[in-house]
Amino acid sequence: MSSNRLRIMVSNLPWTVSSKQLRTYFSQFGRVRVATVPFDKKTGFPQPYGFVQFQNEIDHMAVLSQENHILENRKLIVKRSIEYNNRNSVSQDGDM
Amino acid sequence: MAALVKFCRTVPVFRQIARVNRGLSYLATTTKKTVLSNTIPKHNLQVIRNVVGNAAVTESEPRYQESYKSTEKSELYWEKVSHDLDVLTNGYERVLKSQYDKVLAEAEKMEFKISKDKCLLLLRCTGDLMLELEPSARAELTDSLWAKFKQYGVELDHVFYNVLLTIYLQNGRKFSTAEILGEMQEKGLQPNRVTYQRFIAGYCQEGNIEAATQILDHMKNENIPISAGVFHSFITGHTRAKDPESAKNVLNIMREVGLEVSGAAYEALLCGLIELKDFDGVREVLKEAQGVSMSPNQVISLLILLTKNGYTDLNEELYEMLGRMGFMNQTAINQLNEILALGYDDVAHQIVYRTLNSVNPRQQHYISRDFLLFLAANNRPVDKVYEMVNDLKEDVRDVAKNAFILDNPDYACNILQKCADEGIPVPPHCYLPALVQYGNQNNKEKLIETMKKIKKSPSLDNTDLINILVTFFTPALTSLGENTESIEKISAEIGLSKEMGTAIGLHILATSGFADALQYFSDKALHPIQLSSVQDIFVNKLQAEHDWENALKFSKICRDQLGLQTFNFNRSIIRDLIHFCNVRSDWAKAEEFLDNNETQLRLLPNGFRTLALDNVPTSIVQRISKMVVADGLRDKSSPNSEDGEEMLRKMCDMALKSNDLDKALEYYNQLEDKYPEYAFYYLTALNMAALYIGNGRAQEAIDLLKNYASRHSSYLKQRGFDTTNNNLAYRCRFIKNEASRKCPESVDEILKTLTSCGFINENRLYDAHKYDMVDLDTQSDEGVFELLEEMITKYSNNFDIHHFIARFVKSEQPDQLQRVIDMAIPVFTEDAILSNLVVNFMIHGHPKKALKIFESSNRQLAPQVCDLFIFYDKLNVLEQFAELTKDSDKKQRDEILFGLIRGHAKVKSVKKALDVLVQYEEENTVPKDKTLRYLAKVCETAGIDVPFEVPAIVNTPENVNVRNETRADNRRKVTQIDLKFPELLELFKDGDVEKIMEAKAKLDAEQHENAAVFLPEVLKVIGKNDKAHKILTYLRNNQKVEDLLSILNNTSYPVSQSVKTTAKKVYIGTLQDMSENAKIEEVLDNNKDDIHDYLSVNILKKLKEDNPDLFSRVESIVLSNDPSKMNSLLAYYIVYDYDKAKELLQKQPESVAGIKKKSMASLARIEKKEEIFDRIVDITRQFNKTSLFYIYSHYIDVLVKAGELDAALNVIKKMEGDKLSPQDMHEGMLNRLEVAFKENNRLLPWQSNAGDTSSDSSDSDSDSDVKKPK
Repeated sequence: MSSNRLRIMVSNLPWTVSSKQLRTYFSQFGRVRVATVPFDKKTGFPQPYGFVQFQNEIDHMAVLSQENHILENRKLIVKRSIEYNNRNSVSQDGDM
Repeated sequence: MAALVKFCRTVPVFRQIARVNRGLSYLATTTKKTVLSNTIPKHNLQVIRNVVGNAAVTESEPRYQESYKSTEKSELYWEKVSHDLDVLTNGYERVLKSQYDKVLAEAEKMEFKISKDKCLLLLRCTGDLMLELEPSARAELTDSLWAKFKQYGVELDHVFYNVLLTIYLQNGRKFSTAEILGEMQEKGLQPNRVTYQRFIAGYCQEGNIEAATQILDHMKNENIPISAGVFHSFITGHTRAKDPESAKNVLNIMREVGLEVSGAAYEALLCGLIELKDFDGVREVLKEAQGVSMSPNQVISLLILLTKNGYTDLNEELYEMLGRMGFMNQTAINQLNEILALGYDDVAHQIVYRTLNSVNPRQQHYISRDFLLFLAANNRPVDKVYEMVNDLKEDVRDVAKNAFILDNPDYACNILQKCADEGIPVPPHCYLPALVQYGNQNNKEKLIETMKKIKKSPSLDNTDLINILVTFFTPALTSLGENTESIEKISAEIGLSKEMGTAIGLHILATSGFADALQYFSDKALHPIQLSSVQDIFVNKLQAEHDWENALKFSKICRDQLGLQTFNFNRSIIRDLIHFCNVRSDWAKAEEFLDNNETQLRLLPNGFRTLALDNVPTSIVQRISKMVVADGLRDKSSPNSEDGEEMLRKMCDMALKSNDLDKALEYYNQLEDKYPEYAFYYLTALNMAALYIGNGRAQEAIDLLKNYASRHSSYLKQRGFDTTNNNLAYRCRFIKNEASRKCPESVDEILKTLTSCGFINENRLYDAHKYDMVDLDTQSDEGVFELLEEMITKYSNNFDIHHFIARFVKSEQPDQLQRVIDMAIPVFTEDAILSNLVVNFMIHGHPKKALKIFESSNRQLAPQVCDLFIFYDKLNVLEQFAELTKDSDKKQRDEILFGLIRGHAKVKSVKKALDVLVQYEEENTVPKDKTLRYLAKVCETAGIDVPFEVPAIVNTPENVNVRNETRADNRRKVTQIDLKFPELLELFKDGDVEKIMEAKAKLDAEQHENAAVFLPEVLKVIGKNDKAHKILTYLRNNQKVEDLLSILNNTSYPVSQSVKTTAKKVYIGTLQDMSENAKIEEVLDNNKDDIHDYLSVNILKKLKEDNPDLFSRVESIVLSNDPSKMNSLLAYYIVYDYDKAKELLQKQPESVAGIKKKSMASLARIEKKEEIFDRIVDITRQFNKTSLFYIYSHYIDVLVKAGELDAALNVIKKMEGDKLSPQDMHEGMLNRLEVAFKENNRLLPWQSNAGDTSSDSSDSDSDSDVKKPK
């Protein structure tokens, strides 16, 4: 669960950006664990948002603390990815 | 009328109308509003609910699709598409033909039984909203739609006719006034002002001034108001009649009758002149029009017309006009399409170029966005487009995107090719829409060509390629009717045979299943892929087919031929197997599968850990556990042993879940015996202890915990001191609750064990428990409130409010009860308090009151109320409650009955639980699936046959995670306040000030409309505790005066009083930091009545230094106020001006009551002088002796924490001098003190008796009236 804390959601992506470009851009802040841009299988277009997960907290914070992120002339909207995951919060054998 | 009648003689139909009209007045006509089927029944989503007993999980999907096709669904769909159309027409002032077609098709399906608005919307769409079509083509659409209206019997009123006429005019379609009037007359409809205007406009477009004038005269005669629009029509009419002078004269007439000559009038005139090719006249009028504000679309109309007429001398001037305007409206932007359609690329380019530089960024975005769309829509030459778009500094690739959106892959690919040629990077995924679209167009040749392009792309990597092949290329080819062989041939042609082999295999897997995929893969040389490419397909197929055998074989291929690690596949197989059997409660399949394949499955320890093994027979769990391999990193001990540590722990956990103590103990002991090194079972240990306690065997629980702690003390400390470890805290609290219910006599010892062993650090759990044990019934009212206040400050909502409410419900003191609620509301949820009230009123014999609260609150209290009844073992009251609430609404009733079932299940009376089912029947309600599943589980554990069909679990996100046992806990976590920022809820709860302020800064930056209530909301949610103080301190440190004011002035989120008071003080403090003396004066002067809220010792101190005048003024204001409000001043006197304090106390002894014992104790900390402490003790001794113990002990604690043991000893002596025993101190403090003394090798001033708490401390020599908090 701790990994979710290191996830960001990036929106306002141009259509020319897929996971690879996203990863390349955010790699300048630190080690990227996962970068994904979902695709719409019906249209072939990438979604205008994606997720990036970092290896460590410092990089994650560095991204969030930077005010402007501009990729291909587009100002990206970068947010901490909030996920409600209560599933394991009180489970007996939760692995912390 | 005479004029019209005369006019009508020329047209036969008109005569009739004139006759009809004679007796009627248009203006008095009231149009009968047509009410079509506006009310579409709400779709009942329950339809989808799976009611079939043993239906396979997969069946839910087709069923859903079936209902998707049903009428109910199509109505929903209709709502959606027509809404989209609405948005499009209003927001963009344009509509796509495809969009229109979609809505029209839906409307026809519903036989136009749709609202009048929507009919009109459709009609309007056929006008100039549809940019992409020629006017003549649009006119055809209008006609066919109109015919459909008639065919389906849509009731057409005069509004329809007006819209129709407008559309006719927009499309330049000629119409016969007489025909329309005739039709309207047939239907008994009266033309209105708008109808006549349209008639005039129609005649004017033809240049038929005479006819237009006749209608105008008629309007005049009938006193129908004539708007500027009519004049504009006449201007056009005159120019079309080649009479420019009369046209110009209309402007004068307009001025005469007092109408404003607007840009539209000039536009009409200018357009007329251009049509007459009177360019000198145009120039002249344009000069005249300089003073009138023309809108961008009017200017662009002129530009279009001028260009059409081949006269470009004026263009430059008009461009400049546009540039000066500094804005573009949507109509003007849409005109760009027309310009491009006419092929005037340069004009469009110039317009965009000029305006982009002068408008605001938002409009810039709209203009460039639409311009690129129009370029694509009109297929402008690629080279030219590239040049123009580059010149505008826009992304040329976006033109391709627009072309794709418009379903024009050829053009899009050309643009992308151009970009690539020019060196602009084109990532391979940009061609994917082309693959999709060529596939849809059945264009095989282009499809292959595109794939070749993708293959050539320099930035393409292997994973991408496989993904593209699997997800897009292969399905597209398959949809073209290609079979495997021909696809292979094609791929060889492209040079992708190896990759394609893998892709086809995966495609086969996705479409037809494991067996076929296996067959395909059996003799192929495969291209390596990444796990992620296969995983989704694999899991989806597995869940659909439950073909574990072949899945396993497939995973073997993945391992052997593709070199993938297949632990995840194995886990998925096992998970699906367990799920499949669990749903059916039939484990034969699992046995069979394991018999055959046991040895081939391998799991990672972590994979095993995350399997949900509830209800799985032990034998199967054992077999699965044998599959676990050593991770090397995590578990160093023996891997494949029959009873690995993970497995033992899991078995023990499962035994615990079913409350089987003996079995659990067996596993537990095995675990400890065999794996002395293994420590990851602290939760299991706690659960064991809880079960012991639940069975009343407290001592054994304590021994067990101690034993665990002695084995793994360092590991435990590391876990226990991890403040983020909620599981641990939750377990400890659970143990405490169990203990206080089952073995109240040993609670103390259990808690001591938990803390001393290191299961949980801090004394917070311990403290909270102490208060829980206080017998509130024997306390004075004030004492109870003080305690409650302390609890809220210390623990927020981490304690049981139940006792406090019960206290005043029992004693029937409504005012006090209200006070408790007021105090609790900032931290507890409304639901929690209301349900507690309901429960307490029920328990203490006020069912009517309980019912009133339950019914009058508009919240869903039932689940919580039931939870509480069950928790307090008040099943009989719950039954009574269920009897009383028979008439409540279905949803609540369902929850209550479910509660009854749970209650009966808890006390193991399964028969009674089953009886509840009959009650459901009686009340004609259907029990929910989850209720039945729960009941089935209850029956199973009790060994009783389940007398009903158990519904299968449908794989929808909502009910996958439902766990009946933990529902209540999860629900309690969610705050029920109506939040403006619910998504930040988690953030608030964490209370990390930095993060909160970050979020706030972001909102400010976005200029969020609710930014102002953000902080109040945060404070409201986190309630009154030190987190709130942290936020306030942060605001002070950063001098955020505005934000502080937003908290003080807000009305939407009533922040708790004490937070508000603190905020006031912080506000003044901040102003002092900023040396805003004038502002301080103003604030204090304006708030004389509650000036004490704004004051604190530090503020007063600083005030005296900065502004002695104001200080003395404040002094006199405070002294003239009520003595209870003098606390701050008194406190200040005590610390800095003791003489005055004594004087004040002599005059106003009540003033001391204003200072709470807590603040009194903290006063001593302001200036660390013993002298001040002495003063405080003195005053307390004199005025409030009961607090003396508190003051002493807290001061000692402060000194101990600061390491000043000498001073502490000194105070202890003083304390003893006051005949108070320091050994009665709060246990936490006492522990701290003893530890501190021991660590410093100091002798304790008394004999240590720590660990011997069982001895009653009442034999101490304390004779004071101090109430020890025990």
